[in-house]
Amino acid sequence: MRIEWMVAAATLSSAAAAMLPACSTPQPASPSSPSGAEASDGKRLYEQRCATCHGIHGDGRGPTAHVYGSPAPRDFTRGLYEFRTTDAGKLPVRADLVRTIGQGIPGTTMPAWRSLLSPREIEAIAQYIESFSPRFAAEPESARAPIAIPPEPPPPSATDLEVGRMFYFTFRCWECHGVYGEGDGPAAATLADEWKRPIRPADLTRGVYKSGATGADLYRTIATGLDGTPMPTFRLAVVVGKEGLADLGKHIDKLDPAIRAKVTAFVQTLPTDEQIFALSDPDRAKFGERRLWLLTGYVKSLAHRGVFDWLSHDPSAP
Amino acid sequence: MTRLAHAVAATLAFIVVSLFALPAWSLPRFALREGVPCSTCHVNPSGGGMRNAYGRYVYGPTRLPLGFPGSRERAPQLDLGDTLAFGADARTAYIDQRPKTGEGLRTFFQMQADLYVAARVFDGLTLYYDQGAYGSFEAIALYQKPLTDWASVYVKAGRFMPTYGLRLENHNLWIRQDIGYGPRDKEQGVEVGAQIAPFLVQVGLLNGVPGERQLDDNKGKAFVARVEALGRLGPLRLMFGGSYYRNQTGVKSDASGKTVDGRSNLWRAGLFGGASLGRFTYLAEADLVRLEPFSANKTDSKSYSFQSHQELDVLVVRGLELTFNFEYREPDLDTKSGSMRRVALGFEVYPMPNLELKALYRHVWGKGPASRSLDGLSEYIAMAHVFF
Repeated sequence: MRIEWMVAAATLSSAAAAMLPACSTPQPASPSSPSGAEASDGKRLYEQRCATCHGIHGDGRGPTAHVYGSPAPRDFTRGLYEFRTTDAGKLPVRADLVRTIGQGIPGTTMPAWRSLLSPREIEAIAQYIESFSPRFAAEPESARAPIAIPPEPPPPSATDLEVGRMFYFTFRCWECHGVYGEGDGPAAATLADEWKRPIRPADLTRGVYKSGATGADLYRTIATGLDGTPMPTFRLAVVVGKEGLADLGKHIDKLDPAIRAKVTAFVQTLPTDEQIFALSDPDRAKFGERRLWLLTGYVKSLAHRGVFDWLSHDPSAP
Repeated sequence: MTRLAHAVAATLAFIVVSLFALPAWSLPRFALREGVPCSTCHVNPSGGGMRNAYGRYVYGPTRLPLGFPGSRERAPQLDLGDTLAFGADARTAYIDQRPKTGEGLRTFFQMQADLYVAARVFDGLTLYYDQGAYGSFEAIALYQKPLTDWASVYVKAGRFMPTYGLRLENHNLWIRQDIGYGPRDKEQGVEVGAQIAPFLVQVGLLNGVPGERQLDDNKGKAFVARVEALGRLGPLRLMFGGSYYRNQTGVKSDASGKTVDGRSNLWRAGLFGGASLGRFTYLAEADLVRLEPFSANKTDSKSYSFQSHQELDVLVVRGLELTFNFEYREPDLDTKSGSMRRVALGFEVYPMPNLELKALYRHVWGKGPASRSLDGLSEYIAMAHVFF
């Protein structure tokens, strides 16, 4: 049902996608590409630092891979990457790999290598990782345009947060992440990744986000989704009218009736597909961005760390 | 030998141990904090000694140091391809011992200097050699075979420290050296282990001759077994296990490895466990040792001793940890010759990768004739540890 909904949402918004302006936000300057010698350095560094988890062949089956359990190390051979600035289903750009290697993946055992490796070393490792999947050779980086991440708006008002909360229910984030963002939604227990391994949705109250904790990081994660996991892309799905949002999903009966009534009433206040498609391309793009920022602001507001969280936090963890 | 003589001998041995063996702190807390077995970071499945590639290049440099922004100190990269790997541990301490009465001791002490080499003969088979200070060494042929993602087996043959309890680096804790697991108490034999997550089962057959002697001059062998369960329950990490060591035909040594007249049967059993939640890690072990010298009347000459250790570690920030230890020991449960309590407080800092600095204060309270000489002993210890 969830997949059906995603397909329906994607279909509804496909026309909008075609009309959205081409996104070509300039990426942060990355170090120049490694030379041949540095590429072999990438192999050496990968085998030394990464292979114990990700495997000597990049298949995610290194000797330490199973020890920590979930989440399993990434299998690079499939060319499926969670953390990207590119659209769902696309390969990441080099800068995405460099960013993930550099900042690590908080909440997992993937460390932040920027404290130990130079930018050129990280770049060399990223280049070597690309060699594990033939997709990188087949799909040149120039064909993978990063999405636009607009400037972060001022901190959300109480009204913005309430609207963001309604979108959290309307776009069914709660089905996996739970009513209060604790990762305990009605669909949480059934989730599996592309490798058929059980996977848990993020507990958004912890304030630990795998792809970074800034507003732009969360926006990017929500917009592009996490390939290889059930987390879908919302970049296009949010550009949809109230017709496409009327079906609140099979789990809606599990939602508190008061919240359900509020969400149902909220959907009725939303513009129709016709009204959205009547917008100019730039306005439609801004419309989608506004919704994504409202959702992002609400998701960010779910994080709260009490004394117990401080006490039970392992400060050595990535 | 009478029970009183045993008690006196054990006390003398303990004093010698206290003077010349220094703490090296414990690392099972890392395994417990992560909820993963020692073999995740160490070549030896029982833990300790040389670190493997994950320990050296991933866990050590990224999880231990304070991590000043911009610092890029790194481990020496002395590996020769994927066949030969080298490692080392060097611990230098300064100790200030202040007994209640008499002269104290203020000295530098090179408590550890170990050089390691591990050679991968083929996939699964490793030859491992550890040359330690003062002539101590380990030499192991290790074959490991993963069966599934959650099960593996290994066979270890050679000269090594038998598995038992918590492999705490602080070898002069009463639950280590006092029951025959001092730094030189290596034995020769074979050990087999099976990791079936979350359990680790280890069984060994050994000469039963710890220390420097190379050959076993009696007909029997020592048997050692250890079972550990280590796993995660949400953010909580839990460990529980038990150990058993029996050297039936015995050696000419007492529980602390010191040579005595006549052969003896030796029997050790203990329970250990712990829990870790975020920055807090608690470890505990309790051991009972029975020493039974051969004599005309075995019943009279048996002696039981009891040792326990509890430890609470608090990771304030990454790279800075506080530790609180409490030890309890009764050298002879039959004669009630005395009891001892030792408390240790200290901290440990990893200012950069591959360097550890420690400071520790310990104090002993003793009751009874067997413990009188140590009652009131205070120790101030500072230590630097370089490793890779």
